[in-house]
Amino acid sequence: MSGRTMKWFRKRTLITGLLLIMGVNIFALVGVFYNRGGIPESALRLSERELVGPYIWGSHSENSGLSLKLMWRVLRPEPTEKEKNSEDWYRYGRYSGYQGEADWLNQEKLIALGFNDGEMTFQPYGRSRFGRQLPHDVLLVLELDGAAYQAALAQAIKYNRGTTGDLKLLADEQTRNSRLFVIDAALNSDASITALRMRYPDRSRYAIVRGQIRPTWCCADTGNKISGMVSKINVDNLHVPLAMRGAFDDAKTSFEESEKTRQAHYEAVVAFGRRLEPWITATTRK
Amino acid sequence: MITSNRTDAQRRTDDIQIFNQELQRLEAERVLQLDPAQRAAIHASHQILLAAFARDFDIDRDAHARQLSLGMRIASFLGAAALAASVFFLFYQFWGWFTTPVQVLTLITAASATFVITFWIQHKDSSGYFAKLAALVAFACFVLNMVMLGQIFNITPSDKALLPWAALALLLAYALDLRLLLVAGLMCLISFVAARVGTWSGMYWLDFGERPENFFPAAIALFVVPQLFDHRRFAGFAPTFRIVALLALFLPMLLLANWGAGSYLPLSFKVTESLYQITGFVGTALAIWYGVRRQLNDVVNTSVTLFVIFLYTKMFDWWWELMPKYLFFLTLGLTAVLLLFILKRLRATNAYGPNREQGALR
Repeated sequence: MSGRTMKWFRKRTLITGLLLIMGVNIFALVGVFYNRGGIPESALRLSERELVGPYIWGSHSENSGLSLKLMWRVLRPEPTEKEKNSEDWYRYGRYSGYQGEADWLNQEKLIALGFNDGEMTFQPYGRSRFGRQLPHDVLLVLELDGAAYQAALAQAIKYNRGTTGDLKLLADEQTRNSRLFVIDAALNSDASITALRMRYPDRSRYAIVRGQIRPTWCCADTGNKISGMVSKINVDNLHVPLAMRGAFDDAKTSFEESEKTRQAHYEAVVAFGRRLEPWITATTRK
Repeated sequence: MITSNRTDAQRRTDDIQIFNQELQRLEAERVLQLDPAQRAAIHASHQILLAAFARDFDIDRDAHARQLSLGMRIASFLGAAALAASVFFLFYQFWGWFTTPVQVLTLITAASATFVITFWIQHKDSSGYFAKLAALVAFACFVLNMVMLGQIFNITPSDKALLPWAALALLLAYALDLRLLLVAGLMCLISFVAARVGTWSGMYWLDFGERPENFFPAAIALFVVPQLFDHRRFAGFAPTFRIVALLALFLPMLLLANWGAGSYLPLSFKVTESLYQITGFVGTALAIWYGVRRQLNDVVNTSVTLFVIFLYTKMFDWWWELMPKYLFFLTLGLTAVLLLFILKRLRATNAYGPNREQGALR
C-alpha cells in the first residue's frame, strides 16, 4: 500500500472509530434520559431491609463505587401436612426467600407466560428434561409491604413453636427481612405493562420490572406438581451517586460485620422509569 | 510475487537468505559459477529489496532477529493485558469519588483518547508492536466504557452491547493487522448471533451458552466469509476466520456429545449425545477432506485436532472403566501412531501441500 493510501486509510479508520465510540455513548445516554424522563412508572420508598450494601471481599475492597442490592422475595406456599410434621421444614423450608417457587405460578400461568404447553409434562423423558427448560424474560410485579408480606408475617406467627429458631425467624420477619415480594408476572410487552398497571394502580406500592421465571416441580414425595420459580430480576443492583452516599456510610461492610449492616438505618426512594430501569432519587438516614 | 503485507515480505526475505546459502554451496561444489557482474547485480537487487522491506514492514533479516521478534510479540501481548487490567482497576479504585458527569466524561475520554493515541503510535512506530499494544488497551477501555455506563445508570444488560465491541475490535484488527483483536471481534459477533438465535426460542439472552446449538449459525457464516471477501492483504486473517469458525462449530458439538441435556432436540439425552458424537466424527472428517482438497492447512490441522479430541473422549467413554489403565493408554498411543501413518500418507501424495492462500499463521 502506498504512503498516501495508508494515510488516507488511517484517517478514515480514525474518524470511523471515533464516530462509533461517540455514537454508542450518545445512544446509551439518550436511552437513560428517555427512561428517567417524565413521571416515573413507579416509585417505592425502601429501607435497609430492601436495599442491602455489598459484602466486601477480595478485589471488592478496592472498589470505591457503591451499589445496593434489591432484596426481593417470593411468598412460599402453605406447608403440606407432611411438611408441618418435618423438622427440616421448620429449619429450612419456612423462610420465603430469594428466588423462590411461587404458588401463583401454576401450570396455566406458565403457559400464559409463553412456555410451551407440550413442555409442561414429564413424559417421555422425565423430570430431568423438564427441569432443563430455560428461563423466559417476563414482566414481574413487586409489592412493597403488602398482602404478601403480611402473609409471610402471619406464617411466622402461626408456626412459631416458641423455640429459639422460631422466635428468631419471627423477629427477623418483623424487623429485618425484606418486605418486597414478587406477586405477579406477565408477558414482556407494552400492552402487559398497561394491563398490570390497571390491576395494580398504586405506584408507591407496586413496581413493574423485568425478570425471569422458569418452570420447576415441587412436592417430590407426590411427584408431578408443575410450578414456576422466579429466578432473577434483570436489574437488581442500584448504583448510588456520589451526592447520595452519605446516607449509606454503614452499608458497606465485610462478611464478618453482617450484623452491623443490618443496624444501619436508611431509606431511599427508588424510581422505575419508562424502560422499567431503576434509579435512586432521594435518600434519608434514620 | 506481489508484496502486500509483512508475511509476504518476510517470506521473500527468507527466500533470499536460502537462495544465498544454496548459491554458496553450489559454488563450493563447483556446480555453478556466477561471474562478478551477475553476482553484483543480484546482490544490488537484493539489497534494495531488503532495505524497502525493512522500511515498510520491519522484517526480521536473520534467525536472531526472528527470535527477538517472537519475544517482542509475547512482551507486547503481556504488556497489553497488564495495562488493560491496570486501567480497569484504576477506574475501579477512584470512580466512586467522582460525580456522575465526571464519571461519564472520564469513560468517554479514556476510550476516545486511547483510540487516537493508537493511531498516533502507529504513525510513529514502524515495527507495529507498540501500536498493537495500544490497540488492545483502546479496546479494553471501550469495553470498560460501556460496562461502567451500564452500572452507573442501572441499564438492563443487553446483547446489543456486543455489536459495537465487535465493530471496534474488527476496525482495529484490520487497521493494525492484529489477529488477537480479530479473534476478540469474531467472538463478540458469535456471541451476539448466538444470543439472538437463543432469544428467538424465548430464552433470556444471557443464557445462550446453555444451548450450544445457538453457536452453529454464526460458525457456519464465519467459515464462508473468507470465501466471499478477499483477505490476501491481511496475513493470517482468512485462516483465523476458518479456525474460529471450526472451533465455534465443533466445540459446542463436543459438549453436546457428552451433555445431551443442553440440546434443543426433543430426544432423550442418550440419543442426543449419540447423534452429536456421530455428527462430530463425520463433520471433522469432512472438514479434513475439504481442507486437503482446497490445500487449507489451517482447516486440516484444526479438524485433525478436533477429530482426535472426539476420538479420545469416545474411547474414554468406552474403555476407561473396562480396560486396565496401561492397556487404555496403549490403545490411545497406537491410535496416535495410526493417525500419523495416515497423515504421512496424505503428505506423501502431495495433497497436504503449501497453504493455497499463503496465509499461514505467524
